[in-house]
Amino acid sequence: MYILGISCFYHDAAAALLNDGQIVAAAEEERFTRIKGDSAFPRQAIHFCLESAGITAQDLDYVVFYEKPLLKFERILYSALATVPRSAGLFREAMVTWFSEKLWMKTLLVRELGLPPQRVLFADHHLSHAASAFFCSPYTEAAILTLDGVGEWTTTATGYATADWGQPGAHNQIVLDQEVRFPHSLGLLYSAFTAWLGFVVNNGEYKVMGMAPYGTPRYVDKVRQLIEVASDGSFHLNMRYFSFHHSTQHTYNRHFVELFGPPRSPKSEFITDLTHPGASEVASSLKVKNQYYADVAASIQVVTEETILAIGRDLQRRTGARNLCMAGGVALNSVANGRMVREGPFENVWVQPAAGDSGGALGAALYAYHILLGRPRVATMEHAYWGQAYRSEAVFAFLQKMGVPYLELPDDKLFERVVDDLTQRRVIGWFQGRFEWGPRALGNRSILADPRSEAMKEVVNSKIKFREPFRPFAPAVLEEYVDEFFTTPNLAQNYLARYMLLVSQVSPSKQTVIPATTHVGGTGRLQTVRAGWNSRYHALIQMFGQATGVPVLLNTSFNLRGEPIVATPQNAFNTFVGSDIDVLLLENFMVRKTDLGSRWEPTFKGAVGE
Amino acid sequence: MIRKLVTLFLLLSLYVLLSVFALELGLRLFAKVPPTAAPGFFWRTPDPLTGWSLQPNTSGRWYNAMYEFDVEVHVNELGLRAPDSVGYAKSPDVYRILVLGDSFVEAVQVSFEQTFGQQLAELLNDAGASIQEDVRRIEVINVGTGGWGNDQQLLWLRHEGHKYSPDLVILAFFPANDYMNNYMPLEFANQQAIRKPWFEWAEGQLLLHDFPFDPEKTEPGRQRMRELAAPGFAVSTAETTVNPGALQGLGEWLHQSSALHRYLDPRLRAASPNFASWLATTGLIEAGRETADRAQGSEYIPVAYGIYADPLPSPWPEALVTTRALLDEFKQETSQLDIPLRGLLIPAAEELLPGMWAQLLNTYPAMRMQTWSIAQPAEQTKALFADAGIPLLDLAPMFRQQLADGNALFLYEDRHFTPVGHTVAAYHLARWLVQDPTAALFSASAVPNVLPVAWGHLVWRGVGWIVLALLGISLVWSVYRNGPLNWWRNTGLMLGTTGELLLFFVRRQNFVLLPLVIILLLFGGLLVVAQASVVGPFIYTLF
Repeated sequence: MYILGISCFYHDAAAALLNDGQIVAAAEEERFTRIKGDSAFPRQAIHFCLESAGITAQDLDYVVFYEKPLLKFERILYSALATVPRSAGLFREAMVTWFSEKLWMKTLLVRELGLPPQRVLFADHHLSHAASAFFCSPYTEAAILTLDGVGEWTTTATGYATADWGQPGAHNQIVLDQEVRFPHSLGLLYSAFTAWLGFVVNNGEYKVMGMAPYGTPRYVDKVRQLIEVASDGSFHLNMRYFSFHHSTQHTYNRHFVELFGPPRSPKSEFITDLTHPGASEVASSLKVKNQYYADVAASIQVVTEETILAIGRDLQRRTGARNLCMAGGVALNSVANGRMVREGPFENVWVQPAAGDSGGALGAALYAYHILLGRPRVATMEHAYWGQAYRSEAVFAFLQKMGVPYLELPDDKLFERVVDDLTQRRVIGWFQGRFEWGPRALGNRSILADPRSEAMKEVVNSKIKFREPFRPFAPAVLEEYVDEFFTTPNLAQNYLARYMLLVSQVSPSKQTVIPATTHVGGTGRLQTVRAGWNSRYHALIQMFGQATGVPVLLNTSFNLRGEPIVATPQNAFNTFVGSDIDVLLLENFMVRKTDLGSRWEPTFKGAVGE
Repeated sequence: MIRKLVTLFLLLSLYVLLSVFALELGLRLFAKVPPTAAPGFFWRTPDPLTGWSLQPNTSGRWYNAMYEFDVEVHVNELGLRAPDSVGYAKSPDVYRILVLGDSFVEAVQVSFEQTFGQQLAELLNDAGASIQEDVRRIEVINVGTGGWGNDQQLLWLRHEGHKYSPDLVILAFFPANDYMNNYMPLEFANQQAIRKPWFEWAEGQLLLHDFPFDPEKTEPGRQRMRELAAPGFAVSTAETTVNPGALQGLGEWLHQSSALHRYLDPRLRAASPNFASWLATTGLIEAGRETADRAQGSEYIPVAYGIYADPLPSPWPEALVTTRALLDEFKQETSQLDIPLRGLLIPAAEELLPGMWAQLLNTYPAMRMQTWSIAQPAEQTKALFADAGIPLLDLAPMFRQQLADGNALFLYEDRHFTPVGHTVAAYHLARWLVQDPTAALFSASAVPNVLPVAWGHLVWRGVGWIVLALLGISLVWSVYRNGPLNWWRNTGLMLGTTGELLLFFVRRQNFVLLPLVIILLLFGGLLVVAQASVVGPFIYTLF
């Protein structure tokens, strides 16, 4: 039985395909269209999913959309009405898009896929999120927490779920029995600060998280004027300070600015005592200013973490569950996740790696299969490599076509060379297998470097221009050694660590060993690597470990600034040429910048990473 | 809790107050609202000759509750709605036309110059109309009083009219109530009193009663009328008195001081007579016709509409006979004066406007239980005039034509002619008198065409056609683009979604949003049709 899940028209359009409950393929549309955060109908992602299974749309038993358009339409009408006349612009714009497109979702799905309407289903936005986490987790029962900007009405939902693994009397169930509704949204609160700190909403939230360790949470009280959190974690925004509910342009208003001061310019340099210690050639006023922004970032981060923790504690008390499944955009806050793992009341925490709206596509399909059809569980999601693969033949054909000089080597020889390059402080573009599901590069579309010296951070940064210093590089560490390097207990068993979904303290003794991937405050957003689900990546890091004694690599996503992570060999090659990456690895083919010659002199040199 | 409720209450009150204030201001600025309560018939006076007539030397401003007009009414010293210069004496070069009638000739809904009589004079003069060899100035005198029947008109002509040395008499006949007016048993049922001298057709002759009229001496006639009162149109002898509601003072004060009250009052009565009569019991609005109607019970049908009943019930045939006899009297009076007599058939609003008739059925539900012939009064009248040998002009066909062209000829609340209605009547009357072989009295060049063109209406109709054409084109285009099968399926799905959407809002009891959603869907439908089609750019500018 084939079920296709689809999410689109808000941000991050995606498609995911299940075959008898097993994930066949899942991908975000942006990787194919090369438009970052593309929200258009995911035609190419759907095509890819169907192709992966070797089927056509006619073979689909169901297509499930990840939210309920009518409910959402109701919310938009109500919130526009509630804020008349300020909402006039928003209303006008919304009505045009709703009546030309969003309202006719069913028509669109039927038309695009050529399916009879009775095979088109709709799942609730937060139930899609919940299913994307719970039905990928290995648990039989779990508490559920979904957190995002807004779905239909809900912004935060909690509840309890049980899974049918074939044990007698079990059945699949997700009950979201408590919720917080629009406009009271933790996600939108965080986004307001994201905008105020000069980053792009829906995209720059993790930069706020990265900036936070540079500051001290001095302004928690001020933040608490915006959000009132009850002891059970339920919260209420003071809408006096916000305009996201009636504006398409602004998320916060002048009252917010009166409280926190003028917003940070997106172009301004981030300079504090921590980034430029001591030296006084930089205007100290700039330092003071940036220190203030960092302090505010730290404050909103702390409030977010504590709110999530409060919700978690109440949820555990209420459900008595040992396990927690989380999804929704806010569940990508890896610092908060780390605290939930360490300080939270749950024994185990599971977060969907595509926690944002793209994950809703997978969740909607899982919801239909396990809840609507009541089929028992068959699989857990053990890795995130569900995208398109380009095997050696395809890479070979590409290189031939382009006339690029390359070297084809078997793995052991290849990795020897790569380790050699890494220790020589060269930057590697690493492309293999199926691309990742979700926003993180996890070793199939990564840029790799040696994490052992502080200088390497500078090296990568000098090749990766315009990167703010508060944006850390992630350490990819062999699962076997993770406890040596990080203090959070049981990281080897922790699913979040596989998906770069939590931040942990680096062991004090190791902070100087891997300075390039140790963020300010001695933390790292690690990824554990297991041979079982990425043997080549594991082998490479292992070989690097044998050569250096440090089984850790610096890993950052393989893309040019402002672009989605690369998908095809062509994308990878373009990025390689357009940046100062030294060595490109496409499966077993090695391309060296020095061998390229003038023919491939880049016409545009962009910055890597975003 | 209590504090919260009090705050809520205060906020709500403030909201209501502000809304009322805003409405009041908006109405005063932009809407047509009468400046005070509508004045009564200040120009009417009892009269021994006709029962009632126009009060000599009276002037004043008159308008109705819906403020459909606002007119200076002036009555000269002879009791005519005419300039003071008009007297009995007639200068030799003047050809004088007397137009006899009721409220349609009184025409206090339009200015004196706009009455069809005055427009007729102007048209004939412009056309250089002349009789025989000498060209003379043509003068028209309106002789009409609201509520008059042909009996009163006859009495006036007999005792007053000849003093004016008329050259032509035009009898404006209004079948919708003239038959009733002419026959006292029906008029009594209508007015519940004898208010004028009246004729009775008995043994081949017309007997005149209560003449000259003295209200103190009508008791014998009154008794007889009660006996004669027609079955089926039973006269309710109980006077309909309404106890003034407790809020009467407030209601009156509001009506005097608030434009909002004066604006809503007549519209409310028209929209929901039941609610209005309930409201009248509180005193917030004055008890009006709707209250009196209600007091008559659910079987009530006003007497006047009996003329439309098919077959004509008793005693209406008697009214026809009496009227026929009155027509002979008119002929006799005019032949004694040696002048011609012409008839003008005035159409009723409910006869020409289906909406008005429907409204009648709505107001008097008992009417739905009977059969009606809307054309009957006019047909009867034409037969009667033909039988009497009086040339008659039926305005109905011309009015129908003008109504179809989008001209408003009747006032909605008042039901008399609009200025345009008067123009149409005058133009056709002038043409008839000049050109029609059966009635022509004048030789003249062509009567100048003054028929109005309803430009606004034509423009809207044009826009309507263009929109329809564009929609048609886009429909064809979208069918062509998608292929008929796909188009059919997509349209079906969209209609399905639309239905789902409406059901969804109903099921969630979102009734507040429903009107908005429906309007949006209409616009949305346009948007969908417009997509990828030629109309797109035009429709997008709407947003």
